[in-house]
Amino acid sequence: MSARILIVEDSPTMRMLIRSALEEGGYRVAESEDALQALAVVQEVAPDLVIADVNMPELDGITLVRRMRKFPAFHSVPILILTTESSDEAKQRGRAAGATGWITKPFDPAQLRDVVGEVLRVKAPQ
Amino acid sequence: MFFVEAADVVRHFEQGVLRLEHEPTDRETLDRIFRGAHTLKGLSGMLRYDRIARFTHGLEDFLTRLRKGDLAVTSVVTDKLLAAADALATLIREAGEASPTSAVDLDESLGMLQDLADTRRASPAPRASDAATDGGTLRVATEKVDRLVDLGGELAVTRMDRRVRELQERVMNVRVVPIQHVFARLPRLVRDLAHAAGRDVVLQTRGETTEVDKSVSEHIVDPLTHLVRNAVDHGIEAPDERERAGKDRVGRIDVNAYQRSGNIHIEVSDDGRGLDRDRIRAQAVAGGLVAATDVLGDRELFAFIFRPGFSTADRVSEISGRGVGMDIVARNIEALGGSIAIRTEHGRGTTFHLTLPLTLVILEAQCLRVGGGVYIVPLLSIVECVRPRASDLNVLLHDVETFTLRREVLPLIRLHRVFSIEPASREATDGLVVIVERDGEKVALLVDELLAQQQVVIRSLETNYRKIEGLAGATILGDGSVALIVDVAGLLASSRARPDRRAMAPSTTTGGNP
Repeated sequence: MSARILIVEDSPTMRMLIRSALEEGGYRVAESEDALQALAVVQEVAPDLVIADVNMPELDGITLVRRMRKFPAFHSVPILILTTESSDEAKQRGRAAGATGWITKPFDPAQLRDVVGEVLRVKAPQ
Repeated sequence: MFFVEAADVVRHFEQGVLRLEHEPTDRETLDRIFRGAHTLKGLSGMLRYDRIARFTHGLEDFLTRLRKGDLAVTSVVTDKLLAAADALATLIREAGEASPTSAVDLDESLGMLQDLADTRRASPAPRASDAATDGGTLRVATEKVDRLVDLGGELAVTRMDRRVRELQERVMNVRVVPIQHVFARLPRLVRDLAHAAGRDVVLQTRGETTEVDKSVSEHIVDPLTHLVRNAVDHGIEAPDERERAGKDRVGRIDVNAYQRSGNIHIEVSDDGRGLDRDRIRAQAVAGGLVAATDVLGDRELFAFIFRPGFSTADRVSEISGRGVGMDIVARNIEALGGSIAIRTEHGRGTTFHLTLPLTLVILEAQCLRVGGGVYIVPLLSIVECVRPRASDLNVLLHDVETFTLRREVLPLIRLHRVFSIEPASREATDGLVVIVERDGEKVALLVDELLAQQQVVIRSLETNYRKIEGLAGATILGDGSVALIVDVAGLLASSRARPDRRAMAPSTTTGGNP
C-alpha cells in the first residue's frame, strides 16, 4: 500500500501543485487548508508523512509541528516544511520544533518526490 | 486556478490595507496582508510568473519591515501599499493575458517601496532597450510604432490601394489600448479624495473596453483625473447636506466611455449640487469678464469655468478650488482636438461630456484652396459649404463681417486675412463659405475653392516652429506638397473674443481683426 501524505497548505493553487506532484509518485494525498484543521484531522488521516507550509492563517506551520510532536502517535512521523521562507533563522526554528526537513519553494516536482521518497525510506525500517 | 486565487489574494490584500488605515497597529491584519504577498510570491515562483514573483518578493521585504516595527504604518505607507495592490492586480492581469507590454514599471514600483523603507535602493535591472522578446510577443518602443504609423499613413495618403489601407489600419491598431488603463486609477482616486473631502461617494465606470489610441489615452489621464476630482470636491455635497436635500447620503459619480461616429466619448457625471449659474455669473462680473446687465446663455456662462484663475469654490481646499485645473482640462482637451460640453441641473448634478478623436495622428480632412495655398479643415467640423449671395453678407460695426445661413447670423472669417495672403478674388461672392462647428458654435470661413477630401497624417508645427495663430499643424498631401491645418477652435475662440464684447469687457479684446 502506498504511503499516505497530508498536505497542510492554505493556497488552493499550491495544494493542487503539491498534490499532483505527489500523486504522480503514486502517493495517496489528503489535504488541510490550515494548521488547525490539520490538527483536527491528523489522527483520523494517520498520515505516513506531513508536508506543511509555514505562513498560514490562524496557526503557522512551525507551531503545527510543535503541537503535532506532542501527540505520542506523531513523535516520529516525518514532517516536511515546504515554504518560500529560506532564512537560516526560520530553518533553525523549524528544526527546534521538530521538523524533519525543509524544502524551499518554488519546488521542482521530481525533486519533491525524491525528498519524500528518501524520507519515507529512512523512516520505513522502524 | 492561479488567477482566481491570485485575484482573491489581491482583493483581500487591498481590504486588509484599507483596514490598516483605520487600525494601523492591527497585527492580525498586517499578518494577513503579509501572507497574501507571501502566497503570491510562492505561487508565481512555482508557475514562473517572474514579474509577479519579483514584485511580491520586494513587497514581502517591505511588509517584513512593517511587521518588525522598523517602519510605522502611516497613511503614506498604506497609500503605497494600495498602489502596490494596483500594480499587483495589473501584473496578474498581464500574466493572464500574456501581455506583450506592461503598464507596471517594476523598478519604479519596487523602488517606491524601498525608498519608503529607507533602505539602499537596488540598482535598477537592465531595461528592455528597444525591443525585448517575452513569450512570443514583442515590446517595441512607442516611437518606433509611431514612425510606422506615420509611414503607413503617408503611404495610405499617397496610394489609396486597398492593401496599403489595410497596412495602415493594422499598424494603427498596434497603438490601440482599452481605456481601462485610464479608468483603473479612478476608484482609488475617488476613495482618497472622498476621504479627504469628507464625502461618501461611489464610483461606477462603464465602457472600460472602449479602445483608444495610446496617444489619446495618455493625454486623457490628467483631464479625466481633474474632472473626477472636481466632481468629488465641488459636485458631491457633504452627506448631511445631501440628506437635507432629500438625497441619498452617498453621492454617485459615473464615468462612461463609448465610441460613436468616429469619436470617443467620455462622460463624467455626478449627482451632486449642479453648477451654480448665479455664482458663476457673480464671479464673472466681479472679474470684469461680463457686465452685470449682460444676458448670457448657459454655454457662454459655463465657458467661464474653463478660464484660467476662475473659481467659485467657497474655500480653497487641499484638492481643488484654487482656480487652476478646469482651464488646464479645457486646454488639454483642445490640444487633443476634442471638445467638452456641460450639462447641469441645479441640485441634481453635472455631466461633463468629452468628445475626442479616435486617434491623434490621422485626420479625415477637407482640403481647401486659399490664394496659392492648400489648407485643411477637419471634415468632422464642417457643417456645410455654400456659395454666398451678396444678400447673405453683412458688415457690422468694427468691420465685423457676418454671413447669414438660413436666418442664422454667423461671424464670417476671411481665411486669406487670417493668413495674410492674396486671395484669388476679393469678392466674397466669388468664393465659397465653409460653415464649421465646434462645441455647438458655428463660424463661416471664406475660402477660394473646395478641393478633395482625404486622410492626412497630422504633424505638429510647434515641434519645428513656434505656434502660429490660426494653424493647428501641417501635413504632407498625396502629391508630396505641404498643406496647413486650420485651427478651427482657435478661430472660433478669437471670433468669440472680439467685437460684441468689446464695449463691455475691454480686457478681452484679443484676437486679430479680420
